[in-house]
Amino acid sequence: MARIEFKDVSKTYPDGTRAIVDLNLVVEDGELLCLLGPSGCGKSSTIRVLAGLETFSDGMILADNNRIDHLPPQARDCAMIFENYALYPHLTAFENIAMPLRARRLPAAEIKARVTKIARILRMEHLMGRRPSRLSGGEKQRVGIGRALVREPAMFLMDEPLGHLEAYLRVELRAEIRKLQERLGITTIYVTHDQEEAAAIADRIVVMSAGRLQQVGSFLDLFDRPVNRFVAEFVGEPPMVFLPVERTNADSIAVKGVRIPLSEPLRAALRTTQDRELILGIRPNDFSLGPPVRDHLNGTVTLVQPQGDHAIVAVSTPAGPATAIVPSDRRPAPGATVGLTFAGERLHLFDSAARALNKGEGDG
Amino acid sequence: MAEVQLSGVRKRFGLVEALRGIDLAIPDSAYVCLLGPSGCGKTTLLRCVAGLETVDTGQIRIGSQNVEALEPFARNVGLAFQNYALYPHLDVRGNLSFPLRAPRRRAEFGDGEIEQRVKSIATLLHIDALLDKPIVALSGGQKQRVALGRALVRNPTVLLLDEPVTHLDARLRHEMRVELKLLQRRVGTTTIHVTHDQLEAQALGDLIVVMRDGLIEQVGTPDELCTRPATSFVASFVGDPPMSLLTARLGQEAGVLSLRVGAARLRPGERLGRLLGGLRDQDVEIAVPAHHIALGHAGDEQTIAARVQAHEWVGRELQIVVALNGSPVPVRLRTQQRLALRIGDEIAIRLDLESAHAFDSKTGRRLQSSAD
Repeated sequence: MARIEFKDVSKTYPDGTRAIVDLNLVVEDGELLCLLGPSGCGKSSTIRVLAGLETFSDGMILADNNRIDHLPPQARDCAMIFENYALYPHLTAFENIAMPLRARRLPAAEIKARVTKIARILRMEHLMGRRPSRLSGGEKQRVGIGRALVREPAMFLMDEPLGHLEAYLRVELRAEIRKLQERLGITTIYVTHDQEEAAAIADRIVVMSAGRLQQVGSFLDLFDRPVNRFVAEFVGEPPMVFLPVERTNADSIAVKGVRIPLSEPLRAALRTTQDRELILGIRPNDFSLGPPVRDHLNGTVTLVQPQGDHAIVAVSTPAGPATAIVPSDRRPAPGATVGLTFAGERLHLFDSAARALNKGEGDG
Repeated sequence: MAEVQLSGVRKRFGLVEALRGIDLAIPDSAYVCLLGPSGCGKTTLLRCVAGLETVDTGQIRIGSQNVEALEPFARNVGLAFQNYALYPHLDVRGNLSFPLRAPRRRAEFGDGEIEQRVKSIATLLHIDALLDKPIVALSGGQKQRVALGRALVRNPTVLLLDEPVTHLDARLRHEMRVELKLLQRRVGTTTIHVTHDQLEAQALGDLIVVMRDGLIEQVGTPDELCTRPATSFVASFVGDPPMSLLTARLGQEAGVLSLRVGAARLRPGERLGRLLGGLRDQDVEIAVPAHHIALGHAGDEQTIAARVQAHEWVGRELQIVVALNGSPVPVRLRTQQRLALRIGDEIAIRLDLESAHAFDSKTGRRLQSSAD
């Protein structure tokens, strides 16, 4: 078990590419933290420097307040799980899992006991005699997890461990990883580009972009209180709708001449800036569609996508395209003209530098 | 543009019977999704229509023509796959024009016409700025657009899509779905789209064909599948999240019909009661939509004890997957409550059975009243 701390960590490649920029992050003891972001955002580099697989340029990494960044990888006590499970093809599942213990020259009886225990936890006792070529993708990944687990490491580092598996297997295995982690309480950092996976598995999520930490929080924090447009756009499906706004005076705005009602905290935030190039952000869940009304934002329905008890409705408005989620029994027909209204307390405003004006405001 | 008709189509690979008698009529200009788990035969069916597989028995008609005996190129179908299958050594223009320059087509199109067709399809798909780019320089979404363009460039009679957006990330998947559907509306080409994702099928399909083990379970509009699932398998496959299936034992208590689920006894409610009224002492399968399952208090009426298997955020809602005593099938519900749950926690769930569906436990077929 360990509490991990990144202090001002930066990593710059010889060609000048900045993989990690001034990272400050605490991973609490026993927590499952997800690093989420598009490819190239620095999420994999972050766990690779923690594991000691890569060096970094500046800063320090601490485990339980002791510096570990000068230690060789094997002394850092992290177990890594990759997307490609890298099993030894000539060894059975049992021997693959036993490998880290044999390397430590533990007594045979202890090795047998520990591997058997892991096999039971991962429900794969019946597979122990098989070689990797006779295991399915999901089973191989379980063996990979077992091999990482058997060492009882201080931390678990997982780099897109389920990336290449079939959808239904991903859902099954991520629940298993979460269960295992809850049971063992091992500090875990899990890298993914898939927000659904992050929302399913993490205590907290770190959103990264271009080597920089953008925001840390629960899924709901990111969903309801994104600090900038990148996070707002990256988290949430279907994505947030963005509409350009005009400032009508110090604390009010309009979209194509239609006044938008704002909550008091948002009006207060608006008064603190002179910025005139603001963007309004609205979650598709926060739109309501009704009959068109004069002097309101109206639009034409371009597409209706049923999803069971709700539907995703695409609307073309004079301000740009919008997406609304509405209950199935109230969905409009394609081609219909509709009026759009939205809950004032759920709106987001972004300034010309893409920062949220109401960052940390509201209890959305 | 044409309708597509399959009758009695069978296909076997060695010992595996991939298609076990498929009858299906796809109307002209329809967008049809073939939906089912892996191994259900949906991709084999698509490949049979394309001519990439020959059928063992049965007929496939495109428009007025029997095509089972025709070579793929002679069927005039456009194909796009999950893995794009683009030619890496050609640029975007080369890939888009490829079907028009294929050896068998050489006499058909002049250079001027090829260029004009490539330009118009590229404009339609918003890739006109990329025509001179090599394939390796494209993003996933751009590659998928090129693959679609290549499928559409020769104005196919039928467009065949195999998991075309599955592996794109969430944002792009959403965008591409909208584009696909709008594009199909505009060009009006009859489209068959294979997917394992029921939300994708519901979002796109005018009709959804649910398949299982080489057979069709149900053909219907998205609404029909949700409001009148023909089998318990279909019910367990539709909805967001999908409906939950319970096995219940029918019984009588003081002359009143009751449903026994594990140790719990539930009242079926008026509608379901009427449906089950004639049955005695037998098992039925009940499918309950997720928004008719809520958290409850142990011991209250209509509640069942359950153990948390998984919990995850979906937008602002917490989705909870629970296991019931004695039932292997997980039950899914969503709540706006902010709970700190742990896997293994004991909770109670409350079931509203008024809109539940009932199925014969042996055949899986829907039980329905004459008024239903």
